[in-house]
Amino acid sequence: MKKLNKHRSYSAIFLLIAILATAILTACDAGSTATVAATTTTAIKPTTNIATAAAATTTIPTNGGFLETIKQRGKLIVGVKFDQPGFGLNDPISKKLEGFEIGMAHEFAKGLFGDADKVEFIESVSANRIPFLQEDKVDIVIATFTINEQRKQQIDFSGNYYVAQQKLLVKKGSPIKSVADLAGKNVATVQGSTSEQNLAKNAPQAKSLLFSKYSEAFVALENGQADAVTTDDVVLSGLILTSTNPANYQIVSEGFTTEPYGIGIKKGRPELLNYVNSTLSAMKTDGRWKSYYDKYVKPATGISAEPPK
Amino acid sequence: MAVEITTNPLKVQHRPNFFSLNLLTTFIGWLVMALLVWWIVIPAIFNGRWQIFQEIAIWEFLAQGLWVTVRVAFFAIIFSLIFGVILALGRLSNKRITSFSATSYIEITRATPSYLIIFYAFIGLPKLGIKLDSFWAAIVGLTIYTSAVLAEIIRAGILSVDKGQFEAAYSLGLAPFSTMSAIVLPQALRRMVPAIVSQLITLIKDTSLAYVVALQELTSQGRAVYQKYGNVLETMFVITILYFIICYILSVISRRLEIKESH
Amino acid sequence: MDYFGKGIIENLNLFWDGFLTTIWVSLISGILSLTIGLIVACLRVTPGGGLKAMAIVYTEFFRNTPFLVQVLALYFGLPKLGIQLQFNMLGLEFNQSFVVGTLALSLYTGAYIAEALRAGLLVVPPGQSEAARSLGLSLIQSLWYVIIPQAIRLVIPPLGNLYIAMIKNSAILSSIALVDLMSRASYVNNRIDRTFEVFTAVIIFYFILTLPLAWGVNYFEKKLNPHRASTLKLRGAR
Repeated sequence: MKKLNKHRSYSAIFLLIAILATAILTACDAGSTATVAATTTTAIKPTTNIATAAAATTTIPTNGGFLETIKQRGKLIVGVKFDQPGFGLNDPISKKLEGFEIGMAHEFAKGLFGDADKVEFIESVSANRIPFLQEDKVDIVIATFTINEQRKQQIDFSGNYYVAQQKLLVKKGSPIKSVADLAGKNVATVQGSTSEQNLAKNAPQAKSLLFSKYSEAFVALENGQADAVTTDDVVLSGLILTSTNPANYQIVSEGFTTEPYGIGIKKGRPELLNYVNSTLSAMKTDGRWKSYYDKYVKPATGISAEPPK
Repeated sequence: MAVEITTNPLKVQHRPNFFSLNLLTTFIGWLVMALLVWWIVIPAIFNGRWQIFQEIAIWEFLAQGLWVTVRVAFFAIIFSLIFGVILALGRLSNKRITSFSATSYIEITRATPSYLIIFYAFIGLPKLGIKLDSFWAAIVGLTIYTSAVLAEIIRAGILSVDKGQFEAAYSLGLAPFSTMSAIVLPQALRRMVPAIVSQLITLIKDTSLAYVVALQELTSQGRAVYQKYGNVLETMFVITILYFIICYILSVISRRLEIKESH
Repeated sequence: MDYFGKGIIENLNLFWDGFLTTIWVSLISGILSLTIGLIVACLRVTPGGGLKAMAIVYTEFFRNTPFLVQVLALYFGLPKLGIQLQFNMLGLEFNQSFVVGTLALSLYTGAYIAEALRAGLLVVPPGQSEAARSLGLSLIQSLWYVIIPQAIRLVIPPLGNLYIAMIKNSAILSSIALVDLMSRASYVNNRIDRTFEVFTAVIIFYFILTLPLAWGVNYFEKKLNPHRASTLKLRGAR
């Protein structure tokens, strides 16, 4: 009798697992890619006034190579930042992915498919941008990606679309006035970023605290665990903007590096690189660059700018 | 035969003391609890930034992450159980090569942080021509790790089955495969249910490490919330409760089975 | 000349830093978590409600929530309550990443150790403690002289497995800026960008750390009476 009961309880559990399995599997089938993609993709209504301004002005080269593969797939896969106010930010409440770089990604999709929505966004944190390109996780990376020689050996870059400077973010009234004051201080930044390398180069005496996200580096500053956060000025002003008490923080004005941002592309894809470069220069001249900049970056940094050559 | 482990060895009836240890521990316990409530729980409730959790959108955002966590955990559990059994049998195999390769796989994997393995699955496997998105990379990474640990547990279960049973089955004319699948394995698995479930709970907790492959699961969503609203403790509290509910239910089920088993 | 592992050899000093930190964190956490585990296991077998309830809440909470979440909550949350855990000692500086990381690791592992120890205590037949008590030993004495020595033998293999898991879990502390093996790997990778070589190297380093423990566990498992070992129901590591 006892034995029978035991068996019954096991088969009951088995049945439960089986039911659960079918439930989840069918749920997955129903949503298919939609459910999986929904977590990384955030569909955005195109910002129509900008999108219509210069609809599909660029001509697409016909002998496509990889560009052809993208077109057949029917969507462009772009690696972007999800935690970068002004450039690429995923808002928990509005569930919208917004920013300067997100807008540009939509423009690239528009040029390819005539539809700004045919783009999938994948979060790229600093440490995995190059691997993402090399392993074909994404077609292009638009993620505050500094062009430098070391990276150029591994991937290709488009022309630059923004020039940032690496600066320091401190609490108001902090004794830190320049990079020279960093000796012995705890300076927070992110693993795998150029900021981390620049910090080691420019302030070797500083104690670096390496986090996985800038937002967490900022919490460390807020908590007093770090004396300063260092990275590109646009990132820093975004951090101040989203903080609960912006008046408590300031950016040390003197920058110590220049960071030209470019769009990353896997090596050996000249057609894609051409397409990106020609669309980019079109955007710089026809006012699309400026309107995205004014819409997303200017409110965050308070600096007006012209497209870089 | 089996040692009776259901009674508490220290619960011995003894003559009542004037100074009762029982009373003392109860008193200290409640005192500490009261202090904790006074110093931590009450300030947390009244000073915490809980307002944003009144927004349905935040719960939807977290639920999205929870759903990813559940699905990743589910697939990883199924695959690890399957591969765990295969690996355990491989390690016990008489063929030198099979046993050696299973053993080295298990030992190397068990010595590696699961964090690293998930990242590897995402970055390394494509170099071998296997392309995975972050969802499947997390599943594969978790499976690689958990199947190795489960293999060891299952192997211990198989070894604990009395040798006489193998001999009896063989002498009845059963083939080695049916002996294993019909007689030994069911017993081994049943015996190891608590250990297996405890490892599966670990797997569920390890899904939080999938942030290295940029998977938007529960913990990532939570980090996005406190990044925006600066309420680390409050958000982490909510996240913790969600994980706790899932894991605790599983551990209660496992304990039920364990108690049934020991009777 | 470029060969597999060149970048690793050249940056071995960086890895060495991280390796040492991982060892230190593991050593201190090893001692702390054993202490916590012992206390909590004893609390769980005490008569009376309060302390026992606390011990149960502690073990269930820490065992059923992800370590990463605990680490992040403690590191970023404690300062919000005004608690800054850092100090200088013997000319060495222990920053918050180190202190909070070690604490979190100890609390997490301690909960598991408490459970393993309790399982060990419960395996000792109740007749023994009754005998000890009837011989006039106090509760503490009967625990210390009769129960614990027997339980320890049974508990060593699971304890070894928990320590292996602890060393591996310390990798998660790189997310709160601890300069450990994992963090150093990412640092080196950022400079030489050889993902495969760097991560192969890290696996080897962790293997070096866990191998002696794994051997120890095997040795004790073989030495123990297999029948009793099986009644302990090998808890999954972690």
